[in-house]
Amino acid sequence: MRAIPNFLQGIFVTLTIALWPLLFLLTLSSGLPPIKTIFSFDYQASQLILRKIYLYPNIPLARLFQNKAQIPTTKYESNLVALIDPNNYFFGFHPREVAGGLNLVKFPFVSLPFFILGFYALSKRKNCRLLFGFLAASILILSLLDNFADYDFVLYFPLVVIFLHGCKSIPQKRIGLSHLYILLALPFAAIEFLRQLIISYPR
Amino acid sequence: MKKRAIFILLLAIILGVITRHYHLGLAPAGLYLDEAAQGYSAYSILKTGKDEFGLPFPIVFRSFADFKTPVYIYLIVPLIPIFGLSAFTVRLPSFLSSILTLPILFLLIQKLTSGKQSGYWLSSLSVLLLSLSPWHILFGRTNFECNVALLIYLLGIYLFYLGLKKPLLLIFSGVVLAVALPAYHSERLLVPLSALFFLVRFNKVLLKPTHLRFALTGLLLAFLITLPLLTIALTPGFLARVNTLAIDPAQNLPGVITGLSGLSNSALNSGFFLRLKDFLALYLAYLSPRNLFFLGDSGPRSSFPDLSTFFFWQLPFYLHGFYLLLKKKDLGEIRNLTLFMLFVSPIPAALTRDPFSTIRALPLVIPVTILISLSLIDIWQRLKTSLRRLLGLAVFGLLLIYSLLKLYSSAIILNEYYRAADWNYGWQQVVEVINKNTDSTLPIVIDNVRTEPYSQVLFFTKFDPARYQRENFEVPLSEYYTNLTRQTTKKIGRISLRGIAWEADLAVKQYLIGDFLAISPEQISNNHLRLIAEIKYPDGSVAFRITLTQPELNSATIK
Repeated sequence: MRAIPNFLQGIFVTLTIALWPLLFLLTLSSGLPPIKTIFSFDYQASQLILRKIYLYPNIPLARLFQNKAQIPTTKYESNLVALIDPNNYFFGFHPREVAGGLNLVKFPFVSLPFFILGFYALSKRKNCRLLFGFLAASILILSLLDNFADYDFVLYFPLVVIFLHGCKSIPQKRIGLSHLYILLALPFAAIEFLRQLIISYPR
Repeated sequence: MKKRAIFILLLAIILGVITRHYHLGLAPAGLYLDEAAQGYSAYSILKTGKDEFGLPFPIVFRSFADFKTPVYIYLIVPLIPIFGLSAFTVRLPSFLSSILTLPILFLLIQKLTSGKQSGYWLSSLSVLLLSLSPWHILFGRTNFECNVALLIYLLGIYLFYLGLKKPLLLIFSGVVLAVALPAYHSERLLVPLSALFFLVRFNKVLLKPTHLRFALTGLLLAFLITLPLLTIALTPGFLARVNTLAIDPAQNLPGVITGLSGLSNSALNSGFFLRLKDFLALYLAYLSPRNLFFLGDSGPRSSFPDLSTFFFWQLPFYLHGFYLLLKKKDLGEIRNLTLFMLFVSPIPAALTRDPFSTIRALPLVIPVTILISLSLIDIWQRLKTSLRRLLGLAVFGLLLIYSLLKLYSSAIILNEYYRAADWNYGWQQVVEVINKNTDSTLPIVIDNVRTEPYSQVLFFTKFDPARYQRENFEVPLSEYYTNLTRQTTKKIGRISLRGIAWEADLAVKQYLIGDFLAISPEQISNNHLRLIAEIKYPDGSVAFRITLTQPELNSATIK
């Protein structure tokens, strides 16, 4: 009797953790582009800052908010918030897609509760600092790249660990709400999996 | 501790007044058409007891067939005899609501933390952060109903919690929440959900004999106040906003895969699946740090340039506060209410297709501010030595000063320069030129193909509402809430607002007014128009041109 829920849970887990690597391989067909950092010169941004400087009534105020350091800082902030945006991983940044970016759906959106469970469960354990530290460091370093979306696959590993931990925190010995959720969510996960494969398949 | 908290509250109110009152009515420059429409509706009610279409005391205001919520408009009415009909007056209710929200929030948090010392810190820090919140300030400086609705909603909640100890106040809570319902569209969903939350959470208290009759009386009065709204609840007018803004029908939803047919199309492009996914994506967007701390609202009137809804430096405190709120189960009722508001406030906004609407999700500013405050207090408590605390205080002080300067930079300097056109700058100047520099015997045509300036012209000319009602017809009054037909041609005395019909209009001696596209330099020279005045945006580009036709020159050319 318990084999059926475990079987279904197995399919659900497989669909969740297989999606991103498959999509990554599909998009990798043209190879990884060269790394571009946020420190590369941006002519348009520089010109915009110069125009804005003249609007301020005094130089200190102008320099505080309109300066060349602002260009890489703003890019860094933009990349950082994109990397910690849940919509990045579950909805391909929808409804605010990144112009010119990959905008890949990395995990089916129905798996989100297990990531939350996993984060919460792991945060109570002292030996998870390495995992969270790796995740945080990866995000901070990736934010230095203009094309972070091409290299963010490094986040796959810690995120999958968190997801699996979330699944593990479900009571295994008795059938409950979480199993019912998996049963209901499974078709959605399957549909999302197929949709993303079709959308990303090179034509 | 109590004295310190009150000191911080007073400081927050002073900061709130400064950030919201500075150049109130002047910045944003310009008066958006909805603001002017609400102001003129209030003026019309004051003078005639009817709106611009002639309906006495409407339940919702037809305006541009978008059926504006009534509370804000009725709040403007008593202010007009005192302050006159001006941009300052129409924005004043927003300003006052925004300021009054600060002490109400302070008292609410105090109530929910039962007078504990940590409660004093939380309440005072929350109002201090709210007083500097870009999200709250934007709507406190401009005519937006959501701000008034938030105040009324918070007051209703506060009265409810007071009513749990003093049952008579449950009646007032019911009445106030009923007034919040028509105050803004989001509250139409938020108030019933909140009522349900309170009923479920406090059912044991509310069902006690000491409380039941007051609770029922409050519910009855709320129902009676809501009755006029219920009578039109199913009309196209009442549902106008829902119909125009709701998540798209299935065929227009994002993510539809083309080229599929049969079973694969039904499964993979299922309307239910796509709508659910769209709704969840929209919902999650309101909790996303990317939108709250970096992107903000993409609407030019719902945001300040270079500034999001919160300051970027608050991001780590938001994440930390989120974690604390979930982990610390001993926070008491403040935890329950904050969680409720955090997860329920985005729902009305997420049901609409706009990606991140700060207007519709304004109640979310409260729980997010509380989260940030929770985190700051937790960090403060971890600073054990007085040197570290002094350093922490200095850093916090610098961040507050930086935030104030950032507000000035974005809300005053950049907003005035870059967003003047979005705020419909220029119509006040156009009316001034009409009054001072034109021959009052000649007719005027204002082009309205790309915009609808009639509300601004009515507003700035302070045109007689009774005459306007007589001379303009849209729909029979019996169809006020049901017929969505619009008449875009308007008559305001000698001013006609319509598209310019070049051939016919050049044959008549009159003034032609239009934007830089409607009346270009080529049209001026080709049609022998005499340029009377050019109204420019703060960035120097042309907003409007006021010209005079010269039929005698045109007919000479034809001959």
